[in-house]
Amino acid sequence: MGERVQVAERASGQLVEATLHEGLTTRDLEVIERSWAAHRAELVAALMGAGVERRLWPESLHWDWGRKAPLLELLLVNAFGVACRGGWQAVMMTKTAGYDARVSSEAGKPLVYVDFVETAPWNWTISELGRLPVFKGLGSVLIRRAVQQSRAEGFRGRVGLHALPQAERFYGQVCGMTRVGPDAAKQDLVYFEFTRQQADAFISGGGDR
Amino acid sequence: MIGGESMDRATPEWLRRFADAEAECPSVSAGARQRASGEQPRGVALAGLIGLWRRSRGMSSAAFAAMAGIEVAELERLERGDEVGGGVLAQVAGVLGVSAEKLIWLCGQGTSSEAALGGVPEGLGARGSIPEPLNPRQAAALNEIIRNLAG
Repeated sequence: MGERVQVAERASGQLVEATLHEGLTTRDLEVIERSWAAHRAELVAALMGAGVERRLWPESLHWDWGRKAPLLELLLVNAFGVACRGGWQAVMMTKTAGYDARVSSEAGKPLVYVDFVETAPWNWTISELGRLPVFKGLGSVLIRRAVQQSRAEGFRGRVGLHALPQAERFYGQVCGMTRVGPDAAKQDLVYFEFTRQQADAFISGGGDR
Repeated sequence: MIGGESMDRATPEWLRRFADAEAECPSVSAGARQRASGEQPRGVALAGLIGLWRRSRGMSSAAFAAMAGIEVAELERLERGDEVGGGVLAQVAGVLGVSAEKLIWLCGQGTSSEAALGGVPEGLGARGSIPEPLNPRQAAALNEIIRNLAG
């Protein structure tokens, strides 16, 4: 059984009931990708048709959760997903071992590392195509869950992740994570981290925005 | 957690606040790039579409390759955006349910005599950089292929 959560439906402006599932299986990820793949293809067509420059395409357009599924075989890897209105709306994969805090005040302490997180293609904001998300706030719900997982593990809310460039604003300005900087070991993606205090502020609604 | 509901469930105010702020951001994706900028192989758009078609049906590489009568290695080359022979493309086209002519044209390896495709730049979506915005007829032709590949 999953955890009841709410997400915002953009069209109606209402909060609607959703379920946050933990412990997604390989099969779940394959089902998710099967559902999302056709929408990725449709977006490729729309972006090409509109002549949108490649650098402006959604950076996770090429992702394949089916290929990430084998990671679930590893110990201390967990996958979460938000389901709503009969479909998977967002997915996150976390690791609870092998990653330590980098922010100087907490350097070396264990944290939850968000290996991958993505919302369904129909929940993306693509200004070049005038597309708005069907459901809003899914990333926030999942990052909140990562903080809760960190607390449950005894990591006090510490969470780390590497954001794709288009997502840097979300993690830095919306969530209020510390922008540690580009990581040469991870394709120069910018590494962000929640300290304990920042995680507390995020959960209480006082993220640095 | 009690009765399926988290003890520290987000309040409606929290949800609305973060939902509105998040919607102003183009993405929340975190993880990894596929390739560094500028390293996209030629043919990557077609490769992506074939991969998406296969994945949307939940087919493994092995199953798709077997259905097409090609080696898995050949399919992997195709899905990486590497060039493959016309024979491989023809066999893949059969699985996709599109004409070999369409697929070969989309790969930039030929021209199409079909009226719906006439005048569309060769290699559109398959080779090189993104072209200028399409005119309506070109867009309709491309969408026809996309529908066939992804539908």
